[in-house]
Amino acid sequence: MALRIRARKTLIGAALATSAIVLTACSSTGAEAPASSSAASPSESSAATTQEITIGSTLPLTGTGAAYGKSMLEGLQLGLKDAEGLLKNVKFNLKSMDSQAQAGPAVTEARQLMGQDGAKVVVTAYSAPPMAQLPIAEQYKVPLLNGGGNTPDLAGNTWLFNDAFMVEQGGKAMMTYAHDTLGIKKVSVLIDTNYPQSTAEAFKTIWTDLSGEAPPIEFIAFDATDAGPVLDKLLASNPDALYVAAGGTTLELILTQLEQRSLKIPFLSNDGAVVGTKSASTVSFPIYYANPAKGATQALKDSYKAVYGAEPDFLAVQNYNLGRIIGAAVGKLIEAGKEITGENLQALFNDPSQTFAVDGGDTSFSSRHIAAQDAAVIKVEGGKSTEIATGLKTT
Amino acid sequence: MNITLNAVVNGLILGCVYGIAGMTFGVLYRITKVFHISFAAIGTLGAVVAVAVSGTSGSWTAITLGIIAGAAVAAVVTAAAFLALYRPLIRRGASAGITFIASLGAFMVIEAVVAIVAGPDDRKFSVMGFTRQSEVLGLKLSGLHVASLALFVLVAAAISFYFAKTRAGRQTRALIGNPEQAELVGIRVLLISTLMCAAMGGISIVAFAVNGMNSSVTFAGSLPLTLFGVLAMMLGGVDNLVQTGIAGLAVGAVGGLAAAILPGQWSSTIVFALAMVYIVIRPTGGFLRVRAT
Repeated sequence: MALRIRARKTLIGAALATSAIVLTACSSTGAEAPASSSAASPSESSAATTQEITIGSTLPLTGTGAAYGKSMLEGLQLGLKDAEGLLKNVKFNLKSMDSQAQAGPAVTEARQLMGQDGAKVVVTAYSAPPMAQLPIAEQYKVPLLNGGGNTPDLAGNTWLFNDAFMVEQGGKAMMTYAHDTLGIKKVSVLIDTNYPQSTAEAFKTIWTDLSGEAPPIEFIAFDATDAGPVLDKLLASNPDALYVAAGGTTLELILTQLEQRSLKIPFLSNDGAVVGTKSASTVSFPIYYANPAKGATQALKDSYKAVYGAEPDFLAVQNYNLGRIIGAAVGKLIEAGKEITGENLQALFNDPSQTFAVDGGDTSFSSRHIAAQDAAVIKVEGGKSTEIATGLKTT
Repeated sequence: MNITLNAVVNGLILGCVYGIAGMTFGVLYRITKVFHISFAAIGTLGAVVAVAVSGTSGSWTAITLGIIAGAAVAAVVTAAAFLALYRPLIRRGASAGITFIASLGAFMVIEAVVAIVAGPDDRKFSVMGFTRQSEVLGLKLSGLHVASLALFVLVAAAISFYFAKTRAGRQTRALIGNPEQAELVGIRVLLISTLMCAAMGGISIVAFAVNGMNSSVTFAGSLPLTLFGVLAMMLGGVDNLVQTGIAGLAVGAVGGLAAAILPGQWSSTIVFALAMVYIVIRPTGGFLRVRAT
């Protein structure tokens, strides 16, 4: 009897935990629907010869990066759909999972996508998830494509290719512009702990090379509930500008609490400021941030708006381009009569001479596996974004 | 402005929020005997409702109505969690581990449902003027700081008064001590327990709303706030509301001090490390020789 009661208790606990997991999973797999519904292309009509290729994605659809994950997934879905339209008899089957921007779930999901679902490529984002997924990518010989993470350690890994604006690229462009054009002589730097320590070193080197003086640098926990003391500490050194590398809810927190402190100096950032543009109307200080110079073409803006009801932000564009890169690489393999495998795709991505058609032109991965781009600087003031400089060097 | 002193004062204000969370969590814990971790998700739900109802006008009538609406929703969901989840499990002999797993399951379900229905984006109260800081006696303070302190005192006084001075409060203490015996002497245990769960769930929204005004209402932010509240409860002693409140203030102040004098990312780590040391030394918590409430 005692055994039966214990078994029942265990069953109840297991059932509750399972139901919670199932519900959470439902929230992530729910994102797949638009992809499959939007996947219809003329090439599918000859169903008998259609080749189905599974593409995995582990994007942050809930948690701290949820605001980014939505744009990323939408861009990827549209990119794959457009890529299908350019290929004959190929159907991309996107299996989307929610990494929550955390290494733990991302690893489990990558193992499932590569090991069980047969994904040929896994699209990922943030910093911790791709780094944690690298050994699995190597084990299954499946390349990872990053369309969102931007920390220095993401570059130069055999199985990871980045169509993202890396933090040192944005940092280089933004800090150079701030120093040379805005006349900033003294900057304080705040970084959230989603970025590794090497980010601080990268910023320190860039600013020291520019001004001859190392900037004060502070980290803030990415799940901090209050940024006040750290902000007060940085502002106490009377900088001419505050440079922030943060994302998601941490950036929201920082912006809100800077506004509470009536910040008077410019706020500088790199691409993490995507939230800054969304909340710019709530802050009274000017925001400057570096972005990839190559934005969306009008055609992409129109088609994206037709599907999702809004223009794509740059994360959507980056992930759209990843979808197109995957399509272009698959097309090259088909043309060469090669099998569509992760290994063959990696060999293509790994070759800097290989170009892939994306929105508005071609791109290729550098020897450090970054789709190199020049930068633009965007100024946000009074809720209005203006591109004030383009063609800035990022290396 | 003295950065360190300002950080401590800022932390004390944040501690008011931890204190309110700790006191309400503590009462719920004592009544349900469940480590009610879904407190965090219900807090998110209540705060999301509060932002939605208060709208963007920034008027205090709208914001007050929003918080009342959020508190009402949280009250209903907390009472429902007690009646439909915890009570049946406990009556069927579920262990503390099982009820915790059940609460964790409820946490995940509620957060997922809120994210699906309302969207996963962060939300803001339209209260920027109220949260803007001005220099007062060398300290940077805002209306929100003063309101946090006032609300903390009000909540602590109200809960303490209820337990110490009212008949229902004495009955609640009796049922916390021994529900079977309380039932035997005619106390309506189920009714009082349900009402107390609803009341604490509702009051806890004050903490989540103030925290949301200080930053923004996020899915990621509710769990840290709850954990700081739980820490305050453990440090103050599970059965002592006043000390839980004071411990909340201490947790906030130490966090502020740590952020001011050490690298910012260490703040929470220092707070939890010091708290763990204290709990090892004094497992039942508490620090003042006062009568338990």
